Parts: sequence; C-alpha cells; structure tokens
Amino acid sequence: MNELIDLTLICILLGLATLSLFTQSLFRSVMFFILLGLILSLVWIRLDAPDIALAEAAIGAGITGILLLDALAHLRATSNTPPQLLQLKQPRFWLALLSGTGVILALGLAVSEPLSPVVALDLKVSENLAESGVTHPITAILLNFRSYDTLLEVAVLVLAALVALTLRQSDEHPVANEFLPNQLLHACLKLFFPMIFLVSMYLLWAGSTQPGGAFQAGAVLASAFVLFYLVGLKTQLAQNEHYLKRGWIFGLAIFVLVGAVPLLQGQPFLTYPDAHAGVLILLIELGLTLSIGWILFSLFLLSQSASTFQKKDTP
Amino acid sequence: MNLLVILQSFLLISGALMFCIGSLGLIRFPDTYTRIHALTKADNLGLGLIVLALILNIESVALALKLLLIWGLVMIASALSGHLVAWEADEQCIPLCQPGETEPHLESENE
Repeated sequence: MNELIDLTLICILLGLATLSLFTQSLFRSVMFFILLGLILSLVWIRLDAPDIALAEAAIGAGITGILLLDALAHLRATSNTPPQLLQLKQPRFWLALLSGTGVILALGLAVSEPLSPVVALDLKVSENLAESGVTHPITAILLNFRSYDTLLEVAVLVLAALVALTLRQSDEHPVANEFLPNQLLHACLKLFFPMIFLVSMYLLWAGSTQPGGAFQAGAVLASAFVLFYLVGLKTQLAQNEHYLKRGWIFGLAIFVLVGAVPLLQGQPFLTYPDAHAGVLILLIELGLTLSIGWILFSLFLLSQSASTFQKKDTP
Repeated sequence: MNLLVILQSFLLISGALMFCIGSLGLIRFPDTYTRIHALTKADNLGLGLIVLALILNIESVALALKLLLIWGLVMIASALSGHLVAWEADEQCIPLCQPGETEPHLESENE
C-alpha cells in the first residue's frame, strides 16, 4: 500500500516537473511549479523529514510562489513579446545546458563515490543531544553542532536582500501601493492575522522539541507581512530604507553577538555554555525568525515598488 | 469495532468522492463563477467528511480539536479565496454563462 502511495507521488512529481518546464504559458508553468512544491513537501513527509516538508511547504510553495507570480506580473507589465521556449540561437541557452549537465555529472560522480570515512553521524548526534540544550536533533544540528552553516545561510539571505535593494532603481519615489479594497478580505484577515502570528511563534517554540524552527516560522511571518501589504496596511517601517536594513541585520547581529561572547572567555566562536544553551538558541532563533520574515517580505516589497515605477514609466 | 471501521470507510470514500465531484465540476463547468462554486463547496464537504472519519479513532481530544480547527480554517480560507476570485472576475468583466451554453457570451450583462 505504501509503495503504491510512493509510486503515485513519484509519478505526479515527475509529471508536474515536466509540465512546469514545457508548458507554453508562463502562468501555467508557475502554477505547476507551486503544485510541485506542495507535492514535494508530501514526498519529504513520506521520507520521514517533517522539518524539510514544513520548510518546503512554507518557502518552496508559499513564498517562492508569491515571488514567481509577482515576477510574472512584472514581465507582463514590461514586455509584450511571448517567451520562446527553446532559444537555440542564444548563448545563454547553451550556457544553461552546459552548466546543467555539469551539475548532473558532478552529482552523479558524488553519488557513485563511496563515502571514504564511514562515520555514523546520527549516532554522534544522539549521543551529544543532551549537551545541545534542545531535544530535537535537527535544531541541535542547525543551531549548535553546525551553527556556522546556519550563520552563513542567514548572511546569504541578507546578501540577497541587499542585491534586491541595489537592483531597484535608485531615482524612484515611494508610490502608494495598490491594495485590494475588498471588505470581506479585510474582515477575514483581521481574524487570520493573530492566528498566523501564533502559528509562526508556535513553530519557533516547537523547534526545540519537535519539527519546526526559525526558517519555517520566518516564512510564515513573511506571508503575514505580505498579506498586510496586500490589504494596504503599509507601515512606515517598510517605507524607510534604514528600518528595512536594520530588520535584515537584526537576526544576524544577535547570532554573531551570542557567538562572540565565548571569545571573551577564551573559547572558540559559537560555543554556548552548556547551562544556557537552550535559552541562547531560542534567543538566536527569535532574532532569526523576525529577520528571515522581514527579508523574505522585503524581497517581495522591493520588486513591488520597482514594478510600479516601471509601469508609470511606460505608457 | 467493526462498525467503526465500516463507518470510517464510508466517510472516507464519500469524502474522496466529494473531491472527485468538485474536480469534475472544475473541468466541466463553463465559466469562472460556476467553477469556483464547484471547487469551494464540494471540497469543503469532502474535507469535512475526511476529518470526521479521522476523528473517529483518535483518543486525544486536543488532536481532534486541532483537526476540527484545520477544517474550520480551510472553510474560511476557501470561502474567502472563492469570493476573491469571483470579485476579481467581476472587476475584469468576465461574462456569465447562460444555462445551456458551453461558452460564455458577451451580451449577458445587457440582458
């Protein structure tokens, strides 16, 4: 029975991937891509990885879907030429093909190579779990054993937001956003906002003992911000570039600060004292959640204001 | 015990059937407004039946309440998204389809 479910999932996954690549209409391929994200999160659940499933559903299907739909609206606003599927004459097609084949070959090589030193990492993690300050192994790895990785990931996110800020045209003026003047939407969102925040904070809190954590919580928070924006509750914070940037840096700064305190006592960077590890991890995760939510929202916001400017420019 | 299994299977199958009917409506119905109607209504009922079937063999009350909460939230969300799609379709003046027609025609607003 389980094999049947797995087989169905694999078939749907492959079908959706093919459809999203080869559909003529861009809108349809975005829709198929969002569906692909949802099915992928089901696949992760079948593989016993609820953490990744949560992240995939929130980031892969949710936020990426919003960004792609947004990009699609920009494409419609700026150009009227229908996109060609196979542009054989363009060098970037061959470049993409070449790099794609390269990545596939490299991955194939990596898979075929046997791992030389066989280390039972999962055993090591469960042995040291008691010292990490949390009881969920994934959170222990992300924020204690391999916290360098997470720190750099957040730095990459900040960098992405900075790039989005640079790509925005510098000479534009803040424009009033077009919100949806729908009364039912406002009424329902009033009901939903507290619940979205609650879910976000719950995911953050649950991260120490069960699947959940800063990235999932941040993505949920970002969806709340996007909804806020769409109903026209534009805050002064989003208008001001300084507040935007401070929001991005906030989580990273807390992470670096907490990581740097042990340096004063002559210990290596990012070693938490065992007694306070749990509290410190929660503190870092709270900062990360707020910053990740804010960064993901900013990516949406920055592209938004650029499009309004372009629309105004082209008659 | 046996009765419970029969009841559960009945609820699950009828729930799945509701989803199938909703999807069939999405494919077969002629215009945007009737398609939303098929999706939002039939799927809510289908989800409700499936949630009921799952609740039947759950011991913990908290888990059952969570499932009911999910059903409630999905109902509000689908009602809202259905309304938004219809509202936007109306804003864009997408015409209604008269009974017996297979394609929407443009004069429907003037009649």
